[in-house]
Amino acid sequence: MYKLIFDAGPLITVCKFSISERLVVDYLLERCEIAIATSVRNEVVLAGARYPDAQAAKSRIDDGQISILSPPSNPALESLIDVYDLGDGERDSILLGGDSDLHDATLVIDDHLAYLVSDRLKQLKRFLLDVIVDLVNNDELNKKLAIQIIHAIQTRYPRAFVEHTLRLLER
Amino acid sequence: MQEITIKLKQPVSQFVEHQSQKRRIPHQETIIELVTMGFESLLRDRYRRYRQGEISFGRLAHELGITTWELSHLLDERDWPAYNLPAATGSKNK
Repeated sequence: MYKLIFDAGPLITVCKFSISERLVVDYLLERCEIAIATSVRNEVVLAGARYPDAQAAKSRIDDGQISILSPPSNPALESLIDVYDLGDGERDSILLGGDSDLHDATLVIDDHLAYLVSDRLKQLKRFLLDVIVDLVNNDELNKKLAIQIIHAIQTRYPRAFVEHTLRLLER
Repeated sequence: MQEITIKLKQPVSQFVEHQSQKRRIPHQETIIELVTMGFESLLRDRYRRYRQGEISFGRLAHELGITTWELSHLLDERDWPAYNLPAATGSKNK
């Protein structure tokens, strides 16, 4: 099963948009193991009561569908990441991505700067758009549903990224 | 709404006095407008830096003192894109 570590940005996206009145996160949870860092969870809890999307994330955390992981202590990596002054969630997600126990997990990150930082650290990472394509390529998601998901979340990405993804799916 | 007591320094206090008299509104209203304008100005500046890839989404939220979820909704309310991935500017993408 595809193991994914979600940063806050893509987590918000999958908890915000739906297809046929079903949130994108639920389509993914059927097919992937999703984990988030404790700091990402803390923000969900803080915002949970005010927003339906945060409430959706909170309920899936509370019932154990989304698991919570504490980033490992890694002072050398932390000091490298700190140079970039990322948010807590991005820093901890990248720290999790560097955890040897999670070597087969893919970091899902849509922030430009955080993506570049994880790239420089040679981590396994994907944009959410590419996770959808991967699921299709692995025969875990049908193409029609994947295209519907991309259309549903398209406002979260520049037009060229969406167009590229749709072309990959239509091949 | 939060209620606080503040002491204004010059020239801000003089500006508030002047604006309140000129527009015949309470000092409180003038100050609320000023603080809101200050926040909006800071938000625009930090958002510009975010969109240019200088700071991350999480850092933008942190600098505004809000969560990433609150930031997402704040940007949606303004119809400002929540992404900072570079947009291709070729003619096909206009």
